[in-house]
Amino acid sequence: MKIIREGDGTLKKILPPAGLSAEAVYIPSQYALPFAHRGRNYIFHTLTRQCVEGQLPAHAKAGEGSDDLIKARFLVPEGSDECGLYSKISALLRAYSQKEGVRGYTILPTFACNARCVYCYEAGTVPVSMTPETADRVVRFILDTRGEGPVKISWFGGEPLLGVSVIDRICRGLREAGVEYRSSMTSNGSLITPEIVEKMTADWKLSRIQISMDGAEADYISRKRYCGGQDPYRAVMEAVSRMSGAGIRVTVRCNVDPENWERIPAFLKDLGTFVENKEKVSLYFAPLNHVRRSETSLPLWEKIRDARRLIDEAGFCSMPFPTGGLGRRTNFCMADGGGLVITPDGGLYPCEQCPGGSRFGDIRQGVCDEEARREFCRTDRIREECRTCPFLPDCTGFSSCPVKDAHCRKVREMMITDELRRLTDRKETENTEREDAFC
Amino acid sequence: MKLKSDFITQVIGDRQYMVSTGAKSFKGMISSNKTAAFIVDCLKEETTEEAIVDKMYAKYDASREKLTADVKKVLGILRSVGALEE
Repeated sequence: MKIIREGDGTLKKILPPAGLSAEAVYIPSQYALPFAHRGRNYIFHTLTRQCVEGQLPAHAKAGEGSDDLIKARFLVPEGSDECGLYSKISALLRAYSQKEGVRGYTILPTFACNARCVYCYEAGTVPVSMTPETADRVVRFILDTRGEGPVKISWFGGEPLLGVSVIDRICRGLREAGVEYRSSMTSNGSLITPEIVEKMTADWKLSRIQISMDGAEADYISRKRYCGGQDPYRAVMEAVSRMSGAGIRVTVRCNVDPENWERIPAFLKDLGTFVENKEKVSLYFAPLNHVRRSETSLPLWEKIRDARRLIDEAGFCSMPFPTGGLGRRTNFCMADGGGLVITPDGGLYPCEQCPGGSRFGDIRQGVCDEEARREFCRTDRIREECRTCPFLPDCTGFSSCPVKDAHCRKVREMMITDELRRLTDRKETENTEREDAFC
Repeated sequence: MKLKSDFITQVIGDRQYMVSTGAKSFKGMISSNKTAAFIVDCLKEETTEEAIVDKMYAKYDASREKLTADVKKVLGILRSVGALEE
């Protein structure tokens, strides 16, 4: 069995090589993902994260040539409860990674925004902003509830840069309390000036930012619908360049649907014109939520998969989907990872989408409804349709998650096998280089 | 004595794993064989060292001295990671 990718180290300790049973009939594991590339067959194990070259028999018995695949759990005894095994491992690893205190705060300084994106899930939200008194309370709340290590803040909105004074105030409060912190931000990028970049690095300790865009200029204007008919398309791209030049890791998320896809090459060309240090800027295409839920989304996902090569060719860093690539992830979002969301009025939510009914407290009284929080974040209640899914270890799997894909299995299979094919190509190149070195 | 509530166990295959969800001093994972897992399970309710040895004696074919030594050893490990309420 030729190993292409070693399995996860922690899981190797929990799941040592499986024992061989003379009586058992072995069948392919639910988590075994076979794929072919350049005339060769491979198998990836979505739970252990091991990838090997080989093929899975439909049935096997110990001692008949498949023992390595049995030991590595690519083949499992017929009737195994694989979803149960995943649930136990997941619960254990989540508990293992859990730390005392809040792991991260997503703070919404305001619900106001200078854009009126046609797809915004916050449309209709009252554009309230955080008051100075609430900002001071947020600082106290953080001091009372933070876990070990630097405080991690993620600024979200609305457009967070309409709340610069709030961000300044909270950061100042933490500095005055002698607390180390670092932050990230999700922004449309239209309000980023050289002075803001200065604040980002010096005062806000901002290390990462995600800028949302919508394709080529005409699509961008018609979808973002900035107040006053503004067109900050080029200014945003210049800001991306300025921030990456200042050492901030910039990720551009380009929202796509079938209508703006044709002009994506023009968008990439523009971005390439304005952005220096391209290799320090990551870029990915994301289907809009209504497209993800649509039965007709698959062709777009295929285009997104193929467009990773366009991103690489343009000199930017393309990002794998699911994020994290082939590595094991324990947590998938703030809701299942011990973080919390603070809205402009001081409300506490488990998820940045602030689903109705999920508010579990506020910064004045703390967590008032621990039961509501626990209920929303429960990860032990796997959706029925997900129980036999090979991609359970790549997904939240928990029933309260508001994100839903119509073709989640096919999309994950498509994206993960694409990542695996890239891996096998890299391995092949490494082997060729090694052989050349010995010639 | 009792296992602290923020220590959780999970049986995976033929081993029991225990991690802490809150203890600051212990960030590891304890892997137990079936005998040690039996002792850990006894500690999920208020109990004493002697009561655990009694339960072990009823279940396993071994001398009381040997079982007492086993229980002391496991309790020692659990104490060292702050897993016991006493």
